[in-house]
Amino acid sequence: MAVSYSRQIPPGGTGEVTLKIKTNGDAGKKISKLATVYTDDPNNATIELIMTGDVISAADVHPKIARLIGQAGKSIQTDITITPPVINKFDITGVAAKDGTNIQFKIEKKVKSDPHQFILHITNIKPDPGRYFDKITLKTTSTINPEIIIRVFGIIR
Amino acid sequence: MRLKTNSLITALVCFLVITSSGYTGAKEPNPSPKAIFEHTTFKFSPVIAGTEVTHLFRLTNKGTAPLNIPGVYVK
Repeated sequence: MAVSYSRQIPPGGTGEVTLKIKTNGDAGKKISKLATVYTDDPNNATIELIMTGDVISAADVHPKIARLIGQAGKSIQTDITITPPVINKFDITGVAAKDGTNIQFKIEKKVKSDPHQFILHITNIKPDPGRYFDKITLKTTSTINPEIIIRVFGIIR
Repeated sequence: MRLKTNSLITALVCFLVITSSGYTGAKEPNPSPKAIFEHTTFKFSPVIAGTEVTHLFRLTNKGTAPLNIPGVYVK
């Protein structure tokens, strides 16, 4: 938490105490930040200021990680649902995999929901047993989260 | 005897002057600052993680002497 404040206020004058809080990593939490102001007012030597509110994630991604687990030769696929919060509506404008040799994917937009939900369908195309790791990057129209990264684990037996 | 009365009166006057001046001094309040915040709690509407939330708490010095803020402690 960063703070700036008036050092001295003349009689009858006004001043300010400005608090700035960062919310990185606070998704899903209700945060409450306290600042104690020290003054030379004999009746108010300390005054407590409180800032409180909810912090939500830029997008709800469920499940967080894509796991493709199954037997070689059989259909192995998974779906990831991406839900933008009302205060951060966005569109997905691009989908790309870092490697892409073992997976196929496509994005589906659910236009009936508001905000629009997206479903990322991921399918295994590795024909033989083995393990792999990939990363899918979704480009969004949101300035808060221009990219959403989804990790993909494949375990083909 | 007259001299004694005079000195007694002088002493009395002196005593009255000292006590009365002391009394008026006590009655007039010493100039002191008085910090009054418009509000001390701010509830913000939901924000997306990663965004910064800034709030300005305004205060007025309703006292008769300059108000000093030597520090603001945050955790």
